[in-house]
Amino acid sequence: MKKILTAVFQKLISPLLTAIFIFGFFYLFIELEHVQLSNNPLKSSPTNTPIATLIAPTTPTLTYDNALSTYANIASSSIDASERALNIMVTVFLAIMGLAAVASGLAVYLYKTSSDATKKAQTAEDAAQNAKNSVDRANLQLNNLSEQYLELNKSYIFLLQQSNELREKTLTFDAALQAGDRGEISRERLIEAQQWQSFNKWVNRNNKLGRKELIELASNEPGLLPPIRIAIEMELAKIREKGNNLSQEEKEFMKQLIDLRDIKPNERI
Amino acid sequence: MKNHILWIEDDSYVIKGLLSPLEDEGYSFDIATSAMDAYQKVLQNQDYTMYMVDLILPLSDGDEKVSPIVEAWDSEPHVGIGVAKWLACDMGIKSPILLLSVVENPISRYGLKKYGLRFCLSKGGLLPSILKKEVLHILNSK
Repeated sequence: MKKILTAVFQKLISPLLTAIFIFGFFYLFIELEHVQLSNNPLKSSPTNTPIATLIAPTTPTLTYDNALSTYANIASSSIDASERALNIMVTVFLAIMGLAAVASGLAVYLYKTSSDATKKAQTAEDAAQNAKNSVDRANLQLNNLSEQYLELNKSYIFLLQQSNELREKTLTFDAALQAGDRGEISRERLIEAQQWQSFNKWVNRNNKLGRKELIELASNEPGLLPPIRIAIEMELAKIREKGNNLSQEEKEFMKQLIDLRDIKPNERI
Repeated sequence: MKNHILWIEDDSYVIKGLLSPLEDEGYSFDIATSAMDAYQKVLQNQDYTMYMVDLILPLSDGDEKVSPIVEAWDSEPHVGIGVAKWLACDMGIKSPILLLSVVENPISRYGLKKYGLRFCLSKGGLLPSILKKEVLHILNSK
C-alpha cells in the first residue's frame, strides 16, 4: 500500500503540484497584467506625462469639476483593480499554502514510510545475513561430510585390500592343525583358522551351522579374532552399500552379523 | 571291531588332520556327516570302540527325517545332543561317547550327565596330539 502511495506521489502528485505552482504563478502574472491593462483605458506612453493630463480633453472648455470627476473615476478604477488583484493574490496564496500543506503532509507521510521501509530493509538484510550464515554453516557441514565420506571410502578400500590379503594368507584348518601340532603357529592362529572355517561355512557356503559355530567360538576366549571381525565389517559394508532397499533376508543377515560382532568372550547368548 | 571309532562330524573333510595321530596309533574311523547318517551307521554296526559326536550337526544331508533322533533332540539346543542322547539312552551304547565340539562344557551347561554322558572336549584350538592323548586316556580308563 505504501509503495503504491509513494509511486503515486512520485509519478502523479509531485508533477501535478509542480504544474499547479507554475500555472498559479502564470495565472497570477496574467491576472495582474490583465488588471493593469483592463483598467487603463489608454495605452501607456513612453513619456512621463501624467495620465490625467493625457485623458483630459485639451479643449479649453475643461472645467475643474470635469477634471475632478475624471481623476475620481481613474482613482476608483485603480482601487477596484488593486482590490481585485489583492483578492486574486490572497486566493492564489491560500491555494499555494493549501497545496504546500498537502505536500508537507505527504512529505511527512513519505518520510515515515521511508523510515519504516528502512527498518524493514534492515530486518531483511539481517535475515539475509542469517540465511547466508546458515548456508555457510551448511556448506561447511557438507564439506565435512564429504571429507568423512572420502575417508570412509579410503577405509573401505583399505579393508577390501586387507580382506583380500587375509584370504590369501588364510590357513586351511587342516593345515593349521598340523602346523599347531608341530609348534609352528600359536593357539590363537589355530583358532583364527577355525573361525575362518566357520565363517566361510556360514557366509560363503550358506550353511547356518557355521553361524552357530561362530557364536560358540566368539563366546569363548579369545573371542572373535581381528581378521574375522574385519570380514564381518566387510559383509556389513557390502549390505550398507545397497542403501535402504534391503530385502528381509538381507536385514536378517545384517542383524546376525551385528549380533555376532557384538558378542563378548564368556558371554552366552 | 577293535580300535574302530565312529566320528559324527559334518566338517570332517576339512579337519581330517585332527585324526592323524590316532590313525598313526592304529585307530580307524567311520565318518557320519549328519544325524541321519549316524543313525544309519549305528543301526548297521554298534561295535565301535568310541563315538565322537559333534554337537552342531545337520539333522540330515537331505530331506529325510530321523524320528528317533528328532524325538531325542526334542528341545535341546543342538542336534548333536539328540544324537548322543539317542546313542546313550535309546541304543544303550556302552562304549564311551565323547562330545567333541566348539561348544564348551556341554555336559554341565546342558545337564547331560543324567543321560550317562561323561566326556567332552572343546574343539576350540584343539591340537591333534591333544585329541589323541584325551582319546587314549578315556579308552584306557574304561
